[in-house]
Amino acid sequence: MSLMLMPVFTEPKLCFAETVETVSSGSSTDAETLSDTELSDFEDYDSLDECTDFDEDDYSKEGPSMALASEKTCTEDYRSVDFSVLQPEEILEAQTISQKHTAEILGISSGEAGVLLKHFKWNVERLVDEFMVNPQQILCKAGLAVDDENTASPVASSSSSSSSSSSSSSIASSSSAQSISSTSTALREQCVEGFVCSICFDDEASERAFGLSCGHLYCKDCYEYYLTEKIVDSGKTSGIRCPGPQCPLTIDDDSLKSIVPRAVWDKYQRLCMSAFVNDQRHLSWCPAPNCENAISCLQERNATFVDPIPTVTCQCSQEFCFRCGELEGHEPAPCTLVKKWNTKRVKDSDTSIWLASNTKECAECKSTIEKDGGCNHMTCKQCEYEFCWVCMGPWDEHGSNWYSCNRYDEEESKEARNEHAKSRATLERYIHYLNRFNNHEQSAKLEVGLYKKIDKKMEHMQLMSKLTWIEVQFLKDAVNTLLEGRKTLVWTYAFAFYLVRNNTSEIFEDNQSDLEVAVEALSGLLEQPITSEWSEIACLRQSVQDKARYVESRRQVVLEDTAMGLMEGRWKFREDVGQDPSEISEPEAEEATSSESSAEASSSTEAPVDAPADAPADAPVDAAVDAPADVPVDAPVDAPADAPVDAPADAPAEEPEAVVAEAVVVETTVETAVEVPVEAPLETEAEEEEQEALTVAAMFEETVVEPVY
Amino acid sequence: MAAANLPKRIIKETERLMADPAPGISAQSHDDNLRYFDVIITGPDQSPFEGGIFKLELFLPEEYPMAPPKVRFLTKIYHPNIDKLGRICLDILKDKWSPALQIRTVLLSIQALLSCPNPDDPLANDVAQHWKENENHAIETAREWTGKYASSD
Repeated sequence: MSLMLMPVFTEPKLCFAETVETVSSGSSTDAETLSDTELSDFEDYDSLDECTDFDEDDYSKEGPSMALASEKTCTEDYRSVDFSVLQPEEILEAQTISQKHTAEILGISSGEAGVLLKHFKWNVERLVDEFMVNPQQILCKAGLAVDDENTASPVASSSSSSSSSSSSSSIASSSSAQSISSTSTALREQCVEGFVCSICFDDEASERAFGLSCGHLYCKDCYEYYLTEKIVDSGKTSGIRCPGPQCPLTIDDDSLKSIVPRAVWDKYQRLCMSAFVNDQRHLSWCPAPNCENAISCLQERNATFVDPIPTVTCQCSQEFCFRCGELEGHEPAPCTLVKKWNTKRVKDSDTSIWLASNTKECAECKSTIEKDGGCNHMTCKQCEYEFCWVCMGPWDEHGSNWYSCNRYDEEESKEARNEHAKSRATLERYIHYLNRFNNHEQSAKLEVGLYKKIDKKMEHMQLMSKLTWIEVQFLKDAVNTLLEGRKTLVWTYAFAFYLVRNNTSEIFEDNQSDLEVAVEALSGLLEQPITSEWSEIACLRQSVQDKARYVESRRQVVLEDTAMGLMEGRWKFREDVGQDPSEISEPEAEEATSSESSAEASSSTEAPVDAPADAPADAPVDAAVDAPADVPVDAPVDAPADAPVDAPADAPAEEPEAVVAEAVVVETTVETAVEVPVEAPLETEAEEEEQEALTVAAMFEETVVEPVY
Repeated sequence: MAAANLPKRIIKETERLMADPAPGISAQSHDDNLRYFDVIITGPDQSPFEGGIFKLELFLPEEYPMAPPKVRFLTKIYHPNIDKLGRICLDILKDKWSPALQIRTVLLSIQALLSCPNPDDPLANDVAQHWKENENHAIETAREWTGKYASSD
């Protein structure tokens, strides 16, 4: 969802900035082209108009009912999740509505409905069902009425102990007569002559006595003290009963409000609200500190893999998974997998890295062994197997060579080492993914600091150029996009860890690496210092915007494709992560290394596969084989993915460097990439990215003159 | 002196306990701590505790009467709802407490508990087990203990 929010917020601003630029700078860019882009941008997000409306509503805080009515609906195929943000007033409102609604159905007062609903933990369905079967029993259980047999007992016991026995017993007799009708929860004030409260024994106070229809009467001070204790100290929200011994009657909210001080009442309401949200599965508190909003989302809590991942965004901009509560969301990895990964991470991380670098396993019993000194003749404490620490082969073949090992190449030693290597490979594979996961997580944390730097840069840019405040916002938007990209990358590594290696997982890794390359490029661009040259600023702006849009589009591709794969059951997992336990396959030693290379292979021999949302896995690589001139260019950023554009025939042939760069962006073939020098060192990559972005942008501007609407 | 800020309720209750003690029960507050009571309950007739004199201590916490008093047997007793430290398993001393209950009612309830042990809701598991498996033998043991630990002299 939040992913959807990004374009909603950023795109219109970007377009605006572009239009302004053509006017103010008077650059030679074709105005018509720009307006076309703008149009297509808006058309793209037409379907999201509701979202925009919703957010505006909420931010202006027009009123609870308004925002309640406007539900957020995003109509994206595989990842659509409906949710709405409820502010405290709206939660109260929802509570009242639920109460009134139930009161109407059951034909009781709203206050009674409140007591019943709290008793039933806000499960309206169950309440209505059970109430229809035996209303009297339900009323008694919730403390709204007294059983005929029970009516006498509490009063009798209280009369033995309280001095107000005469008055209470007389009232009790009248209450037993009306016990069927449930008007007993309202606290009534009565004047009783010679009244002595049986809690404080204070006979000097007034003759004002308070009590429910059970007839247990107490003074106001004691009632206040009693209720305050129940609310403040015990935190009770339901089942606050008459103070009388064993009295089953419940005190309703209105009576409570009339007795307790304002602060206690407020606390009570907060507690009720908390219970209201906690008791209902479709509500959840925003986990951000100091945020009082709740999220309403109809997603199944115990979802399968097929259900979309309900990433929700509170108005305080806190993002989290509605189902598992993971902060910042965890798309594209499903909740079960995230849980598994997190447990593994907490349990294994440092330990396993230490184990990998400092220990070996016994060739016989696989016990983990640390060598803490002494000679290389090892005897396993577990199984007493004797082996050589150097070659890992059995010791008895070493003969009299006690302190050295020249048997490194002997067959048994090799086997033992292979065994060892295999078990290590599993660990290394994990560490590979863990490192990348941690790396991106760390980068994302560091890049939060980028906001501050960017603010300075934006000021600087305004000073150095003629750009206005609005026009330099593109930098902030780009940082947003960058962080979103990082966040997605983080979880792609957790996801990839559990994937069985096959064609589909390769597509996933290619998509992942495309995103990674794009994210790193954007990150590099944003770190660049700003020069005072106006032309360079314009260039920078162009490339940052292009890159940011590219990152966003790659991110969408990864998320879409993964979500769709989950829905189709396309992914095969290596462990039981909640899906198809029959599909588990044994991890192999080579996988760790091969996946590593492919994850890092960006523009080299492997052709990056573009899997657009509408035509994925089936035909991923259908680019032309013979000439780079015919390479179908997937219009990378601005234009919708289904409007293919022909690349200019000569450009790649004349400028091989540009093709290298394009290999990252544009669909291409193995041959194309191989023909071209691909050993571009890492340091120059950022520059290339920039160039490529420019090339693509130029190409785009030339070719998009006839957009397909 | 503690009496200065002692709630009226406690003063009145103490007065009443003195003036009109319940049969078989006596409660005497300490002079230096008016919230602390020495209690003596005589074993009810027709119970294995008949003839016994049981000492208890009772303390009224700061929150009293919103919170229940704390009561403990000082005399050793063989009872399924009283453990060897003298702690008592009684609902009104816990979740069923009502501020309208008093010291007197609490002590009456404890006396009633001596008449009717409830091995189904035990505090002392071994005693409860004994009570359920061989009630006569358990009652015999209780009687022995009463003579041994709770006799007047």
